[in-house]
Amino acid sequence: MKTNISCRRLPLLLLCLFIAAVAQAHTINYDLAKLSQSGVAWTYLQQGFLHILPLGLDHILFVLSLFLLSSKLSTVIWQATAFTVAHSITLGLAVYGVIEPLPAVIEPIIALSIFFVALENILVQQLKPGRIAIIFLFGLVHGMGFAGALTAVGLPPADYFTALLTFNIGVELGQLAVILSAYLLVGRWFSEKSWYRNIVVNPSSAFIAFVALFWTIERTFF
Amino acid sequence: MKPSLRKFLYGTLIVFCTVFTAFIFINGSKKTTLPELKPRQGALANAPEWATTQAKVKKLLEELEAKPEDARTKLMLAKEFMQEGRISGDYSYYNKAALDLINKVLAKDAANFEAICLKSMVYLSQHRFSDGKAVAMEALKANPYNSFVYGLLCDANVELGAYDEAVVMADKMVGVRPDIRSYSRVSYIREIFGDLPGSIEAIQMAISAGFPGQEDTEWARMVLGHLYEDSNRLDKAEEQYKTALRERPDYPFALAGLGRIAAYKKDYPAAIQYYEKARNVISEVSFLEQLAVLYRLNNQPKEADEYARITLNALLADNITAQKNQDEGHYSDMELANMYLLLNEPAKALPHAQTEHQRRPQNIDACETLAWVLYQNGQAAQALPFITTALRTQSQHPERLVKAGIIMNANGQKKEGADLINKGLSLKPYMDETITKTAQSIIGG
Repeated sequence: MKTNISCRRLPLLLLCLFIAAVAQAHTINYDLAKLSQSGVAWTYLQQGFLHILPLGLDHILFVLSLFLLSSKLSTVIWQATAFTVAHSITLGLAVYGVIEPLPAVIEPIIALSIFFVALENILVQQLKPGRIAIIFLFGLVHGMGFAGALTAVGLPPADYFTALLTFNIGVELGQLAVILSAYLLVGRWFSEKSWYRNIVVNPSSAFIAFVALFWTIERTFF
Repeated sequence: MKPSLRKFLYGTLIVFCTVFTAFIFINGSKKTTLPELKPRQGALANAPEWATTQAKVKKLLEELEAKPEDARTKLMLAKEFMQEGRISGDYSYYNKAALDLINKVLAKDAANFEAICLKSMVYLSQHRFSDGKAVAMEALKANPYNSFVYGLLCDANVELGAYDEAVVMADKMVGVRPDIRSYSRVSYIREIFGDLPGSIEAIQMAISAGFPGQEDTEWARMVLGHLYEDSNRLDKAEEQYKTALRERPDYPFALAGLGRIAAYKKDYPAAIQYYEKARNVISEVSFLEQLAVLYRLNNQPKEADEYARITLNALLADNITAQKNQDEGHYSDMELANMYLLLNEPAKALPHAQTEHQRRPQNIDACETLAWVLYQNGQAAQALPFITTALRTQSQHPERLVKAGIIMNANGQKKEGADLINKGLSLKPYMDETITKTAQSIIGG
């Protein structure tokens, strides 16, 4: 019931974030103009992957939080896919200049989303359908964060779409690498154990929530 | 935990996150982070323009507080930051600060001519030459009668190795407005095409067009000093550096100039003193690199290694920053290649020389660096086409001539090689020992 309330409120807040001046110019990197299409694809695939592993610690913690509530691989991959679809939408909109997200707003909300998901892991016993909707909404916010990273790298003048697509694929591969590593290291062997929740899920989630709260405060006030 | 407590806490979490999100939105939307001046250190704090710069920036920041959307004020502030970056050597911070302001103006008015010009200028300063040229071309379309745009296009074309286009742009620039900036460009182009007397004449006109003591005038005087160094007239070069120090006390590039003169005369302790003084004024990586060389020549390997390490770390950090975020740092592959050669690690120099060459395949400096690095890696045959490209403008740069001679000699072109070496050494007999030893062994000197 309460999940539904949050689902109704969050889109309103997100709509507010979209109300921004339309960007007049994209960040173009003309030094990349010499790259072939396959060169662009490979460069941005790497960039996407690198913005998760090792550069995106906040995104890594978010993905790990998704993994902790249910270690069933198919469930985690569903959540990660919802997250990817969502961040692809806002990343595309931001890169094409339709929206211009404010880093001072987006970065603290990304941290807050990690805090929320991590604490939800402790307070909720099992995965609810509403979780996918929340993750989708958070994915929209994280996409605006990725847009900042992609803008910093710049885009080749002729291959916008290839760069955007392969950057997204790189991000998705980075997320899958995190999920698979967590699954192979922990989930595969211990998730069915009776102590798994008390020894693994709750302490890890509490730690992630603590780090995320610190980031939220730091990014909001400092 | 009881289910009811769990439900209560979960509800609280949702309410807390929703309220906090609203707070972040309201708070974040209000945040206007305006960049500020960094305090100057040491002798730079006593430079004549520092008080004026501080007052100007303070006033502009106050104006922006009152009118946050005023484009003119933002661009004036961006200009101040770019100038301060040049004076302090902190390009990374000030270029980013300027670019943020310029981008804000362009987000509201994509056709703002001045903003486009400044953006191109920042890109060139960050060694993003293709970006700088593309942006300057936009400005040219908007206003073909502005000398500043021709200056930008001249610089971008020089760096990209499009020298014929650069000549056209320099001609147009000096035609529209003959001043210190346009004469400086003419001088540089003449130097590239091997016309040393013409280059000296143009830079003297540039100096006459500027105000003595101003940074740009004294920078032009440094160029004149360099040209004298490259034409075996050390006394004249020394005179320029001393004049610059009189007009602008502790000017770091003049101190470095006197350091070079001392080094040519093999007075290494004096050279080290000059460079140490210069590096205390601004954080310029080339000064650190020179100190590494000088300490080695002065038989102080510990200090030399320390400076080499600091230089390498600074260059690597700058390069990584530029790769991660092109709005910060600047590409420093050519400097890294030269630094690895200095450290006698030619294998590590090669990828950097290749990266720089890929970025600017027609630029004579990038070609020369790649050719020399290949030669140092025992690939003299592969080096030949690159050094040939580097010589195509008939540039009379002494080190380039000597390096070309050594590479040609290694490829069996004995006579051409010896001629180039003789020419280079006659222009600058006091150049780096590591090169002159090899060169003299070839010509039998």
